[in-house]
Amino acid sequence: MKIIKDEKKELEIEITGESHSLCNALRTVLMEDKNVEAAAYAIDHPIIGQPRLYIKAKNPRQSLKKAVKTLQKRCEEVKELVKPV
Amino acid sequence: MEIEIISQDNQELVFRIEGVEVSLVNALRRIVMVEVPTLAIEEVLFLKNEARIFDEALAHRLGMVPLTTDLEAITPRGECDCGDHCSRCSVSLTLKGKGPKTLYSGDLESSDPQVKPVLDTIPLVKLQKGEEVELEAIAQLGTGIEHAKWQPTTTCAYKNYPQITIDQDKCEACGLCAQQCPRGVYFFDEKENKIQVVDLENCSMCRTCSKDCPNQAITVEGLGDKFIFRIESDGSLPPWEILTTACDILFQKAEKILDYL
Ligand code: SF4
Ligand code: SF4
Ligand SMILES: [Zn+2]
Repeated sequence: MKIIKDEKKELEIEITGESHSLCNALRTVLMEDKNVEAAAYAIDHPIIGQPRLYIKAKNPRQSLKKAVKTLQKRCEEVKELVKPV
Repeated sequence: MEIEIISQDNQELVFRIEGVEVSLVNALRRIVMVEVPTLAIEEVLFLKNEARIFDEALAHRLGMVPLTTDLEAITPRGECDCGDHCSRCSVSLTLKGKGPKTLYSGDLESSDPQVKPVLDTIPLVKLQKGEEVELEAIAQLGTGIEHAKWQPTTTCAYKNYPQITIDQDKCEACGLCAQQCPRGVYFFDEKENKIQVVDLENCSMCRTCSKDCPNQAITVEGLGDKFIFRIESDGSLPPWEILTTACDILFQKAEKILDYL
C-alpha cells in the first residue's frame, strides 16, 4: 500500500494488490458516512493497474477506519447467517 | 441484514439476502469465484505413459478433476517453507493401469482419505491392449485467479429481487402476459377472470410482459437492496463454506488497510 495524498481533508491511497471487490464495497460504505464529501476509486489498467482510493472528508483517516470496521462487521454478519447451525 | 435460505445441499445454496448494498454482494461473488482456494492437481510425475495421449494433455485433464478439500488441514503453497511440495502443503495421488481399459477419476488412489475426486466417473485416459500408465499426481491449494481448475464454484450469481405491480384498474384480464412470459411467472385464473403472480422469484426481469400488455398495466422492477444469490459448488467444498471463506477473505482484505493506516 502507498499513500499518494495525505492532507487535512483529503486522502488518496493505493491499495496495492486489490481489485474492485474491496474498493467498491469500501466506497459504498464510505458514502454512507455523513462526514464524507466524496469517495471514489480508479483502476487505470484492467490487468496491471493498482486501485487508488480517494476520500474527501472532515477527517478522511477516521472515516476510512470507520468504513473498514463497518464492512468487516457486515462480512461477519453474512458469515453468521449462512453458517449451518 | 436478513438472510433466508431457499434451498441448500452439498452442491447448491440459494438464498434471499435483504438490506445490503449491491457492492457487498458483488464483492462476495467475485471472491467466491476466484479467491477461495481449493485443491487441484498441480504437478504430475510420469513414470510410464504408453497411452495415445501426450503427458501434458493428460496432466491438464488430471488438473481439472475436482478434489474434496479440507481447508484447515492443508497449508497453501506460498505459505509453506518447503519451497516445493511436502506433506503439509500437498496430497499425493497415484494412477496406475494396464489396457485394455479406461482409467477413471475413481482409479486415482489418494494418500489422504479426506482428499479424493468428487466424482469417480470422469474418464481420464483410454488404454489399448498392453498400454500402461503409471503416474504420481501432486495436489495443492490454489485460487481461480491463477487457473480455473482451482475455482470452487461452477456458477455463482445473484439477481435483484423482482417486484411486479399490476395496476388492477388498467388490467382488462386478457391473459396475454401469462402467454408471453417465458418464465411461467403468471397464471391466468379463468374462473375468477384474473391474472395472478404465481412464481415471482423465477422472473428474469426481461419485461416482455410489461411491453406486451396492451394497457400498460404492468411494472417490473428490481429491488435495490434485496437479492437472490446462488452458489453452485463443484463439490470440492460445501457451498456454505465457500461463502463463509469468502467473508473471511474480504474481512482480511479490509484488515490490511487498518494495519496500514
Ligand atoms: S397483459 Fe395486461 S391487460 Fe392483459 S391480463 Fe396481463 S396485465 Fe392484464
Ligand atoms: S419480466 Fe419477463 S420473466 Fe418477469 S414476469 Fe415479465 S415476462 Fe415474465
Ligand atoms: Zn510444503
